[in-house]
Amino acid sequence: MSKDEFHSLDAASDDALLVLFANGSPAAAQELTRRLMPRVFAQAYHKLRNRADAEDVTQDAFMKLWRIAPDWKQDQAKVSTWLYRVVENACIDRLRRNKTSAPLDDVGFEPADDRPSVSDQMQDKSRVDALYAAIDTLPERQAAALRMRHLEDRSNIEIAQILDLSVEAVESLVSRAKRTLTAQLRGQKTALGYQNDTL
Amino acid sequence: MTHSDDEKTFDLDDLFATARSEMPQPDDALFAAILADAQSVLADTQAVTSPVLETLPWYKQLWSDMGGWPSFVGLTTAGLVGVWIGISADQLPTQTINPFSATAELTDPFSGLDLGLLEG
Repeated sequence: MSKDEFHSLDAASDDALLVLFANGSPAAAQELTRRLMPRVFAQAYHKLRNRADAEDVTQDAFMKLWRIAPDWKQDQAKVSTWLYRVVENACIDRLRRNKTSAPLDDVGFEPADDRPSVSDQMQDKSRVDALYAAIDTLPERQAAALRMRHLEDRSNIEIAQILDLSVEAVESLVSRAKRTLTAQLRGQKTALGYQNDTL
Repeated sequence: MTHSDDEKTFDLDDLFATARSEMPQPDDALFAAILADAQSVLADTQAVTSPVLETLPWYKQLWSDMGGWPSFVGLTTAGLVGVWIGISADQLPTQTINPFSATAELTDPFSGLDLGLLEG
């Protein structure tokens, strides 16, 4: 791939890249994967809490994207929005199938060397587990908006497009979700090792 | 989230940050697997949309250039009609009209009607 081609792909929209891929460009697939894979994986991981399952869902979602590419209509949806829905549905299916197994067993903590102690890691794990458990109790749209905003680091504009809402409605959803989470986790603050409550 | 001691202050944003930091990153193997899938889909698509060009032998090419079966059927029909006309020529009427010997005859279609009767 020439330098000019690389720059043109870099500037191309997701939709344009998908059309280029459908026309036979492996470089477009590479750029699209580089651009979208981290978020797709993050979405699947935060929903499934299992690395292997998240990788499977990510790969399957991209496979569906490659297959639909020749029939892609640029005005039907954004690629990222389409992928979000595919991943969301795949995660729901997988959670239903895995309902009997313990989904949190495989949560892999890969501590960096500068982590202070095993007990701190365990405490972080229990806090994060409590956070995920609290998110799972939220209404579906609140949970989705909160995950996208605070775990997947998506902008409110992108979340609004995905959920088909106004930006103001997204802000309201996230705000309500945070209030509910705070109330829930505040009740567990002693168990989670918090002493002071600034909220 | 910083780890000081058990007197850690509860902060939801810190908790989100911890959750993000604990998430494993997708590795190169996943990236490679996704690209391999893309390549295989491309290969399948190109195999379907680009059939191998078939080279016809010269007589089939000639047959095709002449119009193929539709031309053959049309030509054969025209030939058979010609033969039929030739065979049945004796039975056709031989009286022909000679435009030079034709005479015009004036006939009165109202010959029995005398104008005198009309005059009353």
